[in-house]
Amino acid sequence: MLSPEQEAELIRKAQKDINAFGPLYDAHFSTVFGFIFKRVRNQALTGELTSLTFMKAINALPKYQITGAPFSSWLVQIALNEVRQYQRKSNKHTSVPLSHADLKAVFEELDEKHEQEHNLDLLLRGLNELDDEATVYIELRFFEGRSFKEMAEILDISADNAKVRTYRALKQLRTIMINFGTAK
Amino acid sequence: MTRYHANTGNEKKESFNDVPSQDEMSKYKDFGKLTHNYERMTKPLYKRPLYKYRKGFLMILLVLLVLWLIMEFG
Repeated sequence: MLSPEQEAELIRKAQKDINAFGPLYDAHFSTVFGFIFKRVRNQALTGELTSLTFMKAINALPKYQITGAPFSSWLVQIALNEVRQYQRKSNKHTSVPLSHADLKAVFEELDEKHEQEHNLDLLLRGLNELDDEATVYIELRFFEGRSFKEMAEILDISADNAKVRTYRALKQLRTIMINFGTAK
Repeated sequence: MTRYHANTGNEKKESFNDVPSQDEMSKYKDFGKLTHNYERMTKPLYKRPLYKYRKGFLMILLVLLVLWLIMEFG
């Protein structure tokens, strides 16, 4: 585990020499790989997207500014763009498993009783109908349990904005669930 | 496009946050390959553009001219 000072020093070195990027790659590989895997659920594809993420990071590194925000958030931001780009291009569905614990956080925020099977079905249908942007907020906040600050660093927005957009995504989810519920 | 499914049965319960083990991940970890691919992607195949190789450029022009003459008058 690198300290923020060590990391900043390595970034400065890597901005001048690509070979100095090695320790940063080693330190953050599993974070980036894990982040992508959760969204594409295929190891070989995750490997490719992880490589692309790091290549883009190396390319953009000379312009990277050390602000005190974790370097991993910047890498995850690039990884998220890669995943979204892949999903748009491939137009394939990725089947992502959710446990009761994953869903519980969303249920609690929606003030719904998660014990009822009917509500579980409605929530899943609602999640599958969300637009891409809302999905990103729900995943980061409720499935990965990230703080608004972390979300802000990844999405390059303010923490307040991350909060507003998360609640907008929840509102969208609630509306879809109500519509499905009344149509049933 | 993401399609969620819930694990409610008795089978192995998978969750959103399940990721491969470190061993499995390390199969895809290769910094040497990454830098090689990066350099191949970013460095041009020829350091100098073709038109700056005076002799080679003139030779290609000559070949194209001969080909054109053959096609036009041959």
